[in-house]
Amino acid sequence: MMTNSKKSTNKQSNNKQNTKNIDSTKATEKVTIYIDDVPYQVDKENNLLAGVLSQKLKLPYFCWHPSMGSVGACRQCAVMQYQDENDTRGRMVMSCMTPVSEGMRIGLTDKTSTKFREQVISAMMTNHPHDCPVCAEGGECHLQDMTVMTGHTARHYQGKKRTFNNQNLGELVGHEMNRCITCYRCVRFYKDYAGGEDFGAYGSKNQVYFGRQTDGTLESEFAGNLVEVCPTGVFTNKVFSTHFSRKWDLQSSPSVCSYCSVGCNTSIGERYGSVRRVMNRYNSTINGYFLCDRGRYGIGAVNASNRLKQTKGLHDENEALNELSIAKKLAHHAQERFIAIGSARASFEANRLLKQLVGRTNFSLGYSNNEMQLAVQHKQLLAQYPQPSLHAIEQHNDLVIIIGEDINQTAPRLALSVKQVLRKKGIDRAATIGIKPWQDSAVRTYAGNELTPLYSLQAKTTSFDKSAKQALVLSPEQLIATITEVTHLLSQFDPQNVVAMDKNEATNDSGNQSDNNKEISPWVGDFITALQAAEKPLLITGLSLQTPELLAAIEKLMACIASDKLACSPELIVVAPQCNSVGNLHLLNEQTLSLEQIQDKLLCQQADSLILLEQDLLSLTATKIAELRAHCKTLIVLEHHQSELATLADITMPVAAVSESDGHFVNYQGVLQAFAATLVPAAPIMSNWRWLIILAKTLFSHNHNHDHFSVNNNFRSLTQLHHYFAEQGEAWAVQILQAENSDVNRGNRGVAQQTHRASGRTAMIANQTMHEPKTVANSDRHYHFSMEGSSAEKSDNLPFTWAPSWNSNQAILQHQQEVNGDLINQQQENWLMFSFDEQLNDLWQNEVLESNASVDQDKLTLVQNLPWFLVDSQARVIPEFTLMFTGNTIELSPQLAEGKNLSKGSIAVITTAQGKFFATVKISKKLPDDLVVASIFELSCDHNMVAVTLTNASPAQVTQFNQQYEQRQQYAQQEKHHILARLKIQDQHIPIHLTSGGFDHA
Amino acid sequence: MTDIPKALTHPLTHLVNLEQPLNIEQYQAQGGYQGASKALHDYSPKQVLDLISESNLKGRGGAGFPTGMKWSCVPMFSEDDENAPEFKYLVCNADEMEPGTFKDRMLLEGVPHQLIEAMIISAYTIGANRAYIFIRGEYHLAAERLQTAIDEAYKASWLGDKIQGTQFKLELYVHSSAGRYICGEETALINALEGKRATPRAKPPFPQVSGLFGKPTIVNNVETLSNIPHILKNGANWFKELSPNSDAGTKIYGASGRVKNAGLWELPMGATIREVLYQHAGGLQDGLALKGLLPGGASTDFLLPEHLDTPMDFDSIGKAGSRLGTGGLIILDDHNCPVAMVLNLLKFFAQESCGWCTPCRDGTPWVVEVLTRIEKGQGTLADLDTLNDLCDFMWLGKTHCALAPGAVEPLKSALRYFHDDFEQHIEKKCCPYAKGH
Repeated sequence: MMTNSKKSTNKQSNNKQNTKNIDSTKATEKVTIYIDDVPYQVDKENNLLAGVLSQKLKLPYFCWHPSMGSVGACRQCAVMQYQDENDTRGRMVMSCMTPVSEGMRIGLTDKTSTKFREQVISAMMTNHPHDCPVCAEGGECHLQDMTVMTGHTARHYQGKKRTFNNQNLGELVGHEMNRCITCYRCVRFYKDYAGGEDFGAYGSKNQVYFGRQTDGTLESEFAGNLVEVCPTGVFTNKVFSTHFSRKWDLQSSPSVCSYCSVGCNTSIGERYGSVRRVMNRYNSTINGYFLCDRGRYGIGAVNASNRLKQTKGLHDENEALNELSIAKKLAHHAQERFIAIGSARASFEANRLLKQLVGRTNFSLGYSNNEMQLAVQHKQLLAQYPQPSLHAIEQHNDLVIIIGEDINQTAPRLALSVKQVLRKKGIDRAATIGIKPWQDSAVRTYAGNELTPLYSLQAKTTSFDKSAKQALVLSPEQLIATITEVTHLLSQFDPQNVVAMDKNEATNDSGNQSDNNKEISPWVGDFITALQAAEKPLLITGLSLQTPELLAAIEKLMACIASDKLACSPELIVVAPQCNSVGNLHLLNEQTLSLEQIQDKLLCQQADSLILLEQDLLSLTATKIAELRAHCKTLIVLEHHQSELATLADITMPVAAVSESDGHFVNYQGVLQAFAATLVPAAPIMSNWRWLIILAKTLFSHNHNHDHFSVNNNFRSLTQLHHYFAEQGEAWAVQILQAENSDVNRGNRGVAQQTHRASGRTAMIANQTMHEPKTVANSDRHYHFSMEGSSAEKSDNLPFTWAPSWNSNQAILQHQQEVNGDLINQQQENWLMFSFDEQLNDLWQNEVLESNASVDQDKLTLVQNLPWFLVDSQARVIPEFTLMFTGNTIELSPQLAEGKNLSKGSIAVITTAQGKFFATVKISKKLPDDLVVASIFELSCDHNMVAVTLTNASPAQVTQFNQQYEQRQQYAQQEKHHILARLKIQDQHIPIHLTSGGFDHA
Repeated sequence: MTDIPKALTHPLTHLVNLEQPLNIEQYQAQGGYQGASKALHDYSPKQVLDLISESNLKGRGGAGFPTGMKWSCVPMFSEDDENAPEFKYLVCNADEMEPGTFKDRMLLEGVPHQLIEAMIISAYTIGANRAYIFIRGEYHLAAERLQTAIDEAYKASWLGDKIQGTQFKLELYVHSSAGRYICGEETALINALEGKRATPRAKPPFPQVSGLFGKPTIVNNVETLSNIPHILKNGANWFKELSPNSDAGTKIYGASGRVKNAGLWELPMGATIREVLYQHAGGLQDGLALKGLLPGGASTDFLLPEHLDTPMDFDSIGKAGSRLGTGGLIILDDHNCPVAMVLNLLKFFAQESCGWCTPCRDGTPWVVEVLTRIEKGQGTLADLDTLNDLCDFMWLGKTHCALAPGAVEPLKSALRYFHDDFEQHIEKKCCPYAKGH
């Protein structure tokens, strides 16, 4: 299992082939057009503007967006079109609205269109406030770039400027409407693309206003994209603005979002040792141009006050902390038998290394038996069904089924792609009358409300319900029963007799075939009819409901749809719980320990001590954790924040956050994606793998187990680690090295993370000192903490998006092979391969299946329904997110509420194994009577599908509830100011000596 | 002349009664609904279409596009065609907001059944089963009278299911506009009707293929449609022979400004400007001389006294350098300032810009800013260059729809014909027409 298995089934390799084919459709058919009499090959299916920009020619634009298509509003991209080589007059056309054709002749530098483009800017600028010095967009402003590009250098308008009042749009997005040039991109993104409802264009003439009807927090989880979509400074990143730096002063690195399993590519920017912001990093197959706000603003966690900054138990008071002191301290524990628990939020390398240290029999992923069952099922599903990318689903799927996973909360970027899948039917229909997909407004007009069919089966209401053809809200038991029923009917489905399954007759005919007594819901008939019509249905599920039986039912359904009976090739996406969950599945084998097994081993004294790698053990109750601690001789915790377990630990090792370390996360598909440190962590904080190497040298160097890390290598770089695993024959490591090699062959000697502006680095800190800051030792990294090194385009992992003449994020078009295509130096994706392993089934059984334990009529189950910004425990330390939370609520069916003597707006006491919580009651008629859908701040995310009891709160408890909320809000406000004050003080202390590479380099 | 019944010489207006329009019985007694009856019982949709094409009827809303050709772009489907859209729509554009134009109002208030009959025939021809009259918000009386007439028509089986025993059905609704000039642009009108922002759509696709709610849609002006029943009744040749020149039928001409007798007159298409202005409007008020005129509403180029003998048909007015537009003359006399007049018009266009495309949204207010300074006597000669540049900036092909080019027409022609007036404002640093000068 450790090495990349070569016994992949045929099915696996076939399917892999399919994914390759999907990606190869990105290659487009070309036509020749003449731009200023020079021939160019451009994409036949795209518009002229995309064609011109794909050639890296300078043609300004505003309203067009590579992902949102054309509407022809701004008129900035005008060019001349000529009939033939003798036509000298030509006709002005808007290139974004013009399809290309073979032999087309275009003027780009002619006087007429050049003058017109300058006029457009000069008209737009009549009302622009020219407040660039105080604008957060300054220096990376598309409007500035386009103004320069058109040659508009002087202002002639003498009239008064139009002014607007701005709105408070919440904690995340700033609003400065006077800067607006009315390109309509914001409303097209927010409403049309992302489906938001609380934002619009108001007014008319030169007083069009973009905002909400009244002040208030933007509701969409994609609102932060307005910052990047807006070509100027109307919408700005409010958090970034309060601790601001110009783009050119930021040091940036290519990173991967750690907030869910989608693996969106991000670019993190820092200055003076503190992270300032996250921007989208284009990836043609995953996130494209957009992130969700958990990813964009969640980076705040690395600056939070709860960061762990000191070691514990690694040196005596009178001694300095260094490798020697650590070795001395750890030597005491060398004889102990360690069990190590990895984590799905730590890098793939760290988990892999941890497993290597303790050996496969002493390694755990931190999962309970129940979670192990789910993990095994998840692994088997990955082996059978290669998971399509977000780009692929937007292109190909024609039916969507979402079961038991609220992707708006657990994988918002996937939800955004599903919204685009829903448009596909309309886009296809528009194509029948010759409307191209990029003709955005025309497609939307013609398609009307026509949506790709979506079937939603959830244990709560979700925001997809209104766009679903059918949306069922069922208890998990009902979900399983319904899926089983559908599977049963499908398995009996006779393709020769399709009429029998016709919508109207499904109820009678197939009902008779299967079970005379059983009535088939109209839902099922409709669903089966839709499946018959589909060519490429997409089923999306996840592990949130933590019910192995549900996943088993889904597996059978998938197998049934994939059988030859239906002429369709279904695809599956399993949303994994965390950013590296799928990576850890690769480490899972029959010897992997569950938490219950660990407990037994400690109890039976088969093991002494525990190492926890970035692990919160959130699924355990406080009592269980206390028990674990009591039976564990030494507890070593590697963690980046002051967690409960770090407090209980004997030894803590403060580890670097995602912004401070290198590594890979494995996304839901099994793709390894590299993230690089933006900045060097302040000692003694170190990358997790560096701490693990120290443990290897101290605790595990004399171990006799052959499986152990028996080399005396003093690994100083991640690349050395990769070499080690590559030598062990692990394919993932081989491929990482190959990719790095081809980068080097291309002349990439390490990409500069700082901008060229940093060439004046002695001047940059002149207010402090005239010393040149010491550059950071690189230890074989592929990125340099410096402005020296290869320029960004040598890599497919751009630290920042920049190109000559293009200072805004729109510069990405200069780095793409063609608009919306792969990056110029795109590397092949590094996929982990999974093989179907029957041995794993039934190894981790729940001792007592809770659902069978008691046939209690009144049994209530709690279903988590936290808003997207609180779904991850890391996100809860971010004050902006806390302030966005409007208070604990639970949703109940009217019958349940009545039975518990609760009514809308009353306060309920919710009791689970984790404790007592309070929440305001909401009533939802759609819910089954045995579910309590809860949005409770204090409840940990892993605490889902648990038994719960409900009572009415006493007056004293109501007061307590209200106080809790007030205190939380007050604390968050204070915390916000506190963090900012701390970071601003830190800005004044510029470290002259920075190192990376552990203590030995200090 | 007196021998010929008025119904044959003044088809559009002979039944107009502004005090109390004819009810359905009275309208039928005067020959009403005969055209619709003929179409529904005796003609196939294709035959009606051929007849309208043959009649050479051109749109009266301003652009003069041949109605038959417009209709022929609507896709036709056999009954069992699975590609057939759920609906096709007919929309009557009654959002009459062009300054100086009030012809449709007379037809709407004076003879509502004529429009309903026209819409039945037109909907039958294009296969539409739903129709809307999108009416200017301020036309309260017209909307009320239309609704009364529609109710009568439903009762008399001229609307609803199985009209007059045929298989044809039609639902007709009156929709009052919230009041934007841009709704005269057919795709902006459609957006407004759908409840969206009144912004013109990008074309192609044209509404005939993808219009209201994405379905095939025809939008016709009130006056255009009102001709249809008469063409059905009297034939294409009769219609062509109404006019002495190539543009067929009659036209309701109007005149406003400081004339003796402002009003509306239905005349054979191609009456000269002189005839309308002097025979019917009675010429200018005493003591005033003609300085210029807009031949067809605010969005047409100025013409001069030398153009008085131009026939008011699409071609001739076009050759003279302007557009027939709506046929509503706006007269500029020699005591009124042309700069002030153009400023007034441009204020209207800047106010009514939908805010979609840059040249119109930001260009028209810029023109207003410059003209305001010139009119106040604060302009410079360089401002005239700016105005010419802006005319160029907002011209056809550069904007999203025809609103800004329409605004350019009076401005550009004024800059040409009344250049001296502009220069005098600048040189004298005041408006030479202002009282006291």
